[in-house]
Amino acid sequence: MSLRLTTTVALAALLGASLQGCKENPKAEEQQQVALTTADSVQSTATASFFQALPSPLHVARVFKRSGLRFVEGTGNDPAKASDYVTQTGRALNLGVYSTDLAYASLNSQNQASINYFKTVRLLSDKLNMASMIDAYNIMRRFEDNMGNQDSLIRLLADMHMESDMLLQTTNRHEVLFLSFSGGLTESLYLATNHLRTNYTEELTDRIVEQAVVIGKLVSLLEMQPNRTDYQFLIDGLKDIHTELVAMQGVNKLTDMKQYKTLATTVLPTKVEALRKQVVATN
Amino acid sequence: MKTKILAGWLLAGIFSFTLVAETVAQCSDKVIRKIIKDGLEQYVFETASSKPFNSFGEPRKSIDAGFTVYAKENYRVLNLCQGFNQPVEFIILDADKKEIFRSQDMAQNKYDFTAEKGGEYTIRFKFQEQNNPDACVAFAIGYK
Repeated sequence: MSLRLTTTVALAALLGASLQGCKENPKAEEQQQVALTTADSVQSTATASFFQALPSPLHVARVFKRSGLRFVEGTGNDPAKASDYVTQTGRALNLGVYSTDLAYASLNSQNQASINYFKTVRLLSDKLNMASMIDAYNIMRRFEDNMGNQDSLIRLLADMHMESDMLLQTTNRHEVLFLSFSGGLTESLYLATNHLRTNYTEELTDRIVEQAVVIGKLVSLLEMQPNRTDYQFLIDGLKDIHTELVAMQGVNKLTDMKQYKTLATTVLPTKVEALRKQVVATN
Repeated sequence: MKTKILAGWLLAGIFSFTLVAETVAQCSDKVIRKIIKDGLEQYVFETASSKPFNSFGEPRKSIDAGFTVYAKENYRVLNLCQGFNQPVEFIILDADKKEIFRSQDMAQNKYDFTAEKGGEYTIRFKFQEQNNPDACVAFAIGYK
């Protein structure tokens, strides 16, 4: 009983001392205010993320593949560059880029490229303290065992996606989630629009234009982030692409198919390529 | 010696407070992971979101969440709300905000559909009188 009382008194003293400290130290008050603001920002981002769920980058890759996109080895980001990414922004963006390259390589049965991209994803996820997205469900071993079995690889990539998605949400690391998604979507758009330059199809173009909804949502989520000045180029680039896609949505394909095709094969690929260049160059 | 005992009690107090806080939280990611995997069956994971009901501020009668749908794709939406005293009704609206599904009873916690058109769909949860502050609002989307 006496020990309990002592503990209660000690806790009260500790609390009192910390409150007193806050009163007497304006810097501490400021720090507390910053902490509260950050907590508010985390809370509002978590709520916004709940209200605006993003699709899976793997699903985007499957939709594009079914619409005729073929992955040509060498068009993805160079796996050898993985260790060059040293900032959180660079790592998160390029984790998304490499995850998308991994998805395309796997969907196109390119085994060696899949292994190389898998290793880069493992490396960057480790650097971002997300190794559990690979370590959970024995993903590494399953990846090796199922090489060549496309259905199993898709399940495995989806498990990885679920693990990273939930890990980042539950640890309130929404910024990493949004950046990684941005990198992945930029890579998908880059591969698809690059394909359109020489292999135009209306079906794949329509699928690309459909991404306007996601990009609009992504921009609003990125704009809520307190550190967004670090990647303002990304927000600007996505807005630019969004404007183009919305313009393409407004084209009457029955009367202006030529214009639709021109936008798809020249204007859009140029804008996407410019953003992708910045994304993969962000160390 | 007394100082050591006191420090031990303080640490134990902090530890048990953290433990209790984690246990009370209904939106346990471990539980949610498990019910997502079981609920999606042959569908591939697309996205999932969960938040404690009381984190939405004032007790709400309904909560809407948006999710992106691609035309002609097959989807499964899972209502994963947990800990509510009364059944939670869930409704799906298409990109034109037209209702395409409304759950009839508590057992009906999933909806499968093929999207006629793409765009931003909405999952709407409707709550009855609610007095459990630890309830969790959650959903998951799968595709195939």
